[in-house]
Amino acid sequence: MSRRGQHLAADPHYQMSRSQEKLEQQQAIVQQLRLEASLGRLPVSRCIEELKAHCLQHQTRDILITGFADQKENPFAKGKNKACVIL
Amino acid sequence: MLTFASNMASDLKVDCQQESIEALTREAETLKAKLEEEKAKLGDVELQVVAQRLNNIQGFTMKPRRVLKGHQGKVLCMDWSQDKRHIVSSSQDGRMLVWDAFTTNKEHAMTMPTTWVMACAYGPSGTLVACGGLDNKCTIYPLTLEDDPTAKKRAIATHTSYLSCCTFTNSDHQILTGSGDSTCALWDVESGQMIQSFHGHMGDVMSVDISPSESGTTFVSGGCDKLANVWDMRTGDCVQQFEGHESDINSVRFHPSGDAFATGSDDATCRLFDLRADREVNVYRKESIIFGWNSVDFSVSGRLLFGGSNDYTVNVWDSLKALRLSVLYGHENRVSCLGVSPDGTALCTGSWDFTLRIWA
Repeated sequence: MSRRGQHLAADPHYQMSRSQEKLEQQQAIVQQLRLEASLGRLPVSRCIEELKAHCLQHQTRDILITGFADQKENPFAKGKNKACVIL
Repeated sequence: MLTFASNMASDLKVDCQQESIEALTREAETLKAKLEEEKAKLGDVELQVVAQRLNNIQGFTMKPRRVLKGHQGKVLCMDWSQDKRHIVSSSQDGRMLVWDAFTTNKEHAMTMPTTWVMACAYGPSGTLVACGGLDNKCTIYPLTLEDDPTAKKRAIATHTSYLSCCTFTNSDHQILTGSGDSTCALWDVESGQMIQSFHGHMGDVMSVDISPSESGTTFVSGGCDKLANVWDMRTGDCVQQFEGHESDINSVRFHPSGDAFATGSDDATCRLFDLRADREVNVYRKESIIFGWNSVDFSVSGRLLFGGSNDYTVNVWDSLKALRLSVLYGHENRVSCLGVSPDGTALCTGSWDFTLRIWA
């Protein structure tokens, strides 16, 4: 520790502000944990059943899975809407 | 004598504080143990096990459809317009470009005062875009055909470090920003006033995403402290905190159901966290994957999870079975950003190879 550091560590006012800082940090951690402990949680089985149901229900209209019935409907199909080229 | 008395008082106060700190530390330990126990009790089954019985996704064919060339540096961020046709992208070259993705034409170009424009976003109305980066600011550019958009630019948000991400709420009036100063903030676009700030991360914030649920009052953020935090936008409170990643989280994105979100990390995994179970429910990893994930997004149903990687590829996962369905090859450098179009018909990816690509 530097001489300045030793000097600081011996200063009660410095100690006080350090410990005040630690106290505030610890208070914030406990406050966050209290908040989390008060949360209602659902069993994983139920949550994943609902995630699964959501995916399956919407999957039939998910174009990146089903693809276009007709490629003509695809705005990004080859060549379509490409920039005009003046020859 | 006076000094002595004052020192005595200080010593006494330090002792009291020391006691409080010890009591708080004990309480924190008890709460942590209680939380662990409760989460373990509710972890009754694994998603991959439940999903085993599902049919595999058949005939998956996404093809490269467009290459958007114009940036003269690494593409760092992109966002779709709600019209499903226009794209905004920002680059290390200090430029932001607005593209017509159908034709690959560039419709607007804005030059920023700094390089590394790490964040950009399209306003929901389609009439303005926002961006920022190493300038620590978020700047709005109205998109008009008559005027030069840079003439009407307006800085609306300022952080004390770089801007890493920004996204509009469901209107043009508010924008949420994340920064290297480890905070997020919600801003009023009109006045440039900060509406709420969000403190809690212990490292750079890298990504934010607003909940798609109707109320839309929560958002998730991910950062270099390896944590994903869920916030209440009205109060500024961090309501949930998710651990699991072993390195920086680069990207967070809500599942379309609004009940879960995915993360992409430098630890070479993507993960799925469920808000109501309050825990991780899936991990997307393979032994052969050793590079980090820069960006993630879901298809409209939530069944597909896309990940943009440092190994130049885009991976497509079955989000339920945690199986890799496909790898999209094409980029010649890191894939830094990606996004599914609002109607779910196409995927846009941006890369350090200076290009953006459209896959459909």
